[in-house]
Amino acid sequence: MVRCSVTDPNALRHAVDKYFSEFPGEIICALQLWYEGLGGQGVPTADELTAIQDAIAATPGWKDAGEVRYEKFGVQKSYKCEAMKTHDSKGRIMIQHTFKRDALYKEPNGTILKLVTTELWNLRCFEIKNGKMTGGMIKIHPESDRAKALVEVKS
Amino acid sequence: MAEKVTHSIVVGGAIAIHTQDGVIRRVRPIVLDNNDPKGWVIKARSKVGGPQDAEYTPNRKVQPAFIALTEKNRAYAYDRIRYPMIREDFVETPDGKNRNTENRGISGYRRASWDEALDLVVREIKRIQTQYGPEAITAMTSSHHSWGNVGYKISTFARFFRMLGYTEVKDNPDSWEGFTWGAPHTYGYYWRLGCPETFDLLEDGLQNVETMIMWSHDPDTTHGGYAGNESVMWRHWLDDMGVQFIYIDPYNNFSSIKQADKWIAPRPGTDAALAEAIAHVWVTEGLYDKEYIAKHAHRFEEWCDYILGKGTDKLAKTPKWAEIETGIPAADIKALARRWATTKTMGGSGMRAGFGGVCRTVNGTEFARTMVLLFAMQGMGKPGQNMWGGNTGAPMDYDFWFGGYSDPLAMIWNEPIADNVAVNPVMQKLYRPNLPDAILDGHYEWYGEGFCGQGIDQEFTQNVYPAPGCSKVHMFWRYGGTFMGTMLDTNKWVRMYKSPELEFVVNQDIHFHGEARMSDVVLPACTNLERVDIGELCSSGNGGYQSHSQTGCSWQVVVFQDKAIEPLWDSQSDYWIFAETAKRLGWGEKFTEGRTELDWCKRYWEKSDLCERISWEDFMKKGYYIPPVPEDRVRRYGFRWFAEEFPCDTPNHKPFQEEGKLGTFTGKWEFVSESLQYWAPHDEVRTPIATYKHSWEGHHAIKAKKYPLQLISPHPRFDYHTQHNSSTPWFWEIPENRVYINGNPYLVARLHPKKAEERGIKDGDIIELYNERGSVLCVAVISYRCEENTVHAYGSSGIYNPVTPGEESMDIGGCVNILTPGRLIGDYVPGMAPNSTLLEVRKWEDELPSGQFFEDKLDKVAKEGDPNAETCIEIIEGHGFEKIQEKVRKNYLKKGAAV
Repeated sequence: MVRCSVTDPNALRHAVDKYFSEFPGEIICALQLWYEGLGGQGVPTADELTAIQDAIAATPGWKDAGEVRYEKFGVQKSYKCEAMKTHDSKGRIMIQHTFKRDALYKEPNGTILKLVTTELWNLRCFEIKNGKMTGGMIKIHPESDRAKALVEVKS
Repeated sequence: MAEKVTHSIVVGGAIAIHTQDGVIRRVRPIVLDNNDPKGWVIKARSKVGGPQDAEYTPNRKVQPAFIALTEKNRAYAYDRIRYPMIREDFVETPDGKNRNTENRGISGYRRASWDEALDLVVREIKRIQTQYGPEAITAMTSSHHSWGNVGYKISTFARFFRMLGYTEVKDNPDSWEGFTWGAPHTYGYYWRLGCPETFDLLEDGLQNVETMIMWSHDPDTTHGGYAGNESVMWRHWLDDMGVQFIYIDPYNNFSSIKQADKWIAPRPGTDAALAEAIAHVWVTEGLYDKEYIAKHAHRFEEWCDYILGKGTDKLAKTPKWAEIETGIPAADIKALARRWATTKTMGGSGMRAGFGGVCRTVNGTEFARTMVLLFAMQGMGKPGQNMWGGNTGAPMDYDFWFGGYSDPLAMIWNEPIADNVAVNPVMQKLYRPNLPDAILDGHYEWYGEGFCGQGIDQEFTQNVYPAPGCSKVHMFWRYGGTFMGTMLDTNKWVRMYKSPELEFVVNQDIHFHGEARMSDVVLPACTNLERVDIGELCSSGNGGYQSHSQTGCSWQVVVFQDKAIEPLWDSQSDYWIFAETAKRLGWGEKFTEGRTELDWCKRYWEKSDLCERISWEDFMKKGYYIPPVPEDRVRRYGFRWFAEEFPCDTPNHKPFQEEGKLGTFTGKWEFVSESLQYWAPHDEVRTPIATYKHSWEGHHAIKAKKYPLQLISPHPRFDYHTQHNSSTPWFWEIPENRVYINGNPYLVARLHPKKAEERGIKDGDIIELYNERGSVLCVAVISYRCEENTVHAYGSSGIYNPVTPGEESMDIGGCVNILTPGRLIGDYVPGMAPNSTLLEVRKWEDELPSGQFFEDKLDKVAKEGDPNAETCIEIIEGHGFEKIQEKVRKNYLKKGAAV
């Protein structure tokens, strides 16, 4: 059962666009879109999943990201958005979309930090030297200039 | 000599220890001084008849449970393991065969030196690694037999075994099975292992709540986990305000007796039927938050159809239907439902709102799911509407970070505490509740990763033992506490230990518990009070599972757990034991990174916010640090973000919560679970709609004709797991706990007067609790506090005392888990169900077995070390205790004089 017909390409296109207009994340799979975006109920069929995947792939800005593990859905074929949203529809910052736990960030002075905890009131980091965490715990307010200057180091 | 005061934390709370001349004189709560911060203040309603507004603030002392005050007894206990010991008939055969393993539990021990014991252990490790591979070694800890981030089970122990390489035994969430395996499919929170967030709900409760539903909840007994008596006052405040307390439990428990306005006693294991009938009243009478449900619920209408009898089973879940199942009058069910729906109601199950004995039944997952849905129907997250059991959610300084015991950042096997991360190269796993089955059968398959905090998908991983290409396990290193008392079907553990498959068994513990008596080598560890450590009261860590558990306390207390006395007899700290073993294995320096235990403690100070608040020297001198709660603190009420639709602002949340979603597939309350439909469509235990089902060991089972009574064995009042009772004889003088007869402290078991009369049992009689799995002798307490079909005896007995040691024998120690089923809840639900136990009870009219059956082994070894050593019975009777202290004092003074 599905509340948005995936067999009607126009209806599906419309529903996917509408969902993406508010979706704040950068990674998605067809299952997530089925349940959250299309009002899907029950397990989608393989054809339904394929239709959703095609619709995502055809959405500007979304690209194939291969297989990604989700805590809820397990490993799923996924798509990644080039421009991630970091604020909700009312303009409120979403810290954990903006900063990723266990990711590495570079400061303007070249210091590499590992973000070990992302709280609303603090990003908690350790400096990485020679691949190891060193020194004491560094606290950075997520809306501070220092936080804004952090650039994620892609592996 | 002057008295010395040190501080420590134990599972009962934070304590101060007074020692004089090297001997512990007394243990007491920590009392705050003028340099400690002001307590938080909550402005709320006053008590009935008082002024309109009132301010609530905690007493200026840390309030441990009474079990914490037994630490002196636990140090000088009669069952302390004083020396390394080797089983008398253990033969170190070169191939691991013919070692008289059938005599484990029967044979005595001989005293060994540390060198002899550890050299033997190391030779066996090397032999087994060479003969079978590293995966042939397994090791396992109990939960919480000590406290402190360095010495803790998933810190030092994990560092050693990760470096060694071993088959890890995955823990099952034995205290809250139903919530772990059920609730995430309703509201997510798998990262909290199924329990709800309760941040700042103490303030919400004090300001708003009118009714408290205490469902399978005895907070005065379970203490919010290891929070001691910290929250007792909070519930008194609620009481004084006129908040109505409704307790639902087959046993009118201690908190209920003290506080309940109404006690409702369902037949054990039928609580899910009661929950469904409450929903029936709400749906038929329109008594739920329709606007909230319309916005936040998924497939609510289908669920209503099921409740109303319009589903496939065509059975309306009316109060009348539930009356037949539960034994609770339909009128009471209706009254309960109406009160709940028409007043601001909070409530919970068990010690953190997501625990409780009900979730350890065959229907545990379905109860947990339905209970969550009931709170959702009333607008969970709105003021005064939440899952909260009155024992968590105190204000705290969220901006202060100090690692708790389950926080990955606070373990000495991991960065940043260690310089080098210890990684276990072995992928093979075992699963705790079925460890004996795996060893005995040589093959075992199961679902799940034990604690599945990293994702719902973890519940459905398929595991097989032995793993492809891996050896079976042949060596077992058991560390701290005993599963003969906490795990179910105790006798299968006996069978496992006697199996020649286990060629070598090491036990490292403080006391001579049931499992220690089944080992080849016994390594004596010291107590918390005989070593240094560092830790925070009641904190599992802000990044660990069930984060911020310290909100169960009025004060956040980080303690420098200084050594109060030197290790007694030949005991050593766990860290010392592992470091010495590592040294003999050739990687001692790698293990220690050149650090002493004190150095490791300092690392926790350096790598946390503690170093910004207090100097290391001042911290060691004062012994503890209490972070103040800011007066202008920001409130972060649990679930309020969801009810009011703003990005989640509570600690320990997930990215999708910032998008306004719960952790379910749909992001809403799932009245029909999409995750179960997707992951486990054939699961007959957890159906997509949570439904009350007849238990495979309940009153509908055929077996009930032979064993018509139902045992409930909740978390104990006079123990924490298997500690305290075993080593504290003065506990045996508490009639609600045990009765000392003929040299043995018999556990009390309670039953209803009607059932007792039918069996000719009178108060104080010795009774035999039995079923096909075994039998246990207890002392009968006849009481209307028991539901009619219920036998109540506290679980996780600290004493396991089989009449025939080492055999599947009748027990007189009160180890009622001999009677509980070893079967898992379901094929896809790898949880335990101790509260689904059928049994019969009869008056014991044979001769009583005499005394106890293991002390002679300890006495023999003690006399080898010291012909004048105090015997167990002398220590139990008290005068031996005094003699030990006197000897220690003399030695201490002699050493002092020499210096």
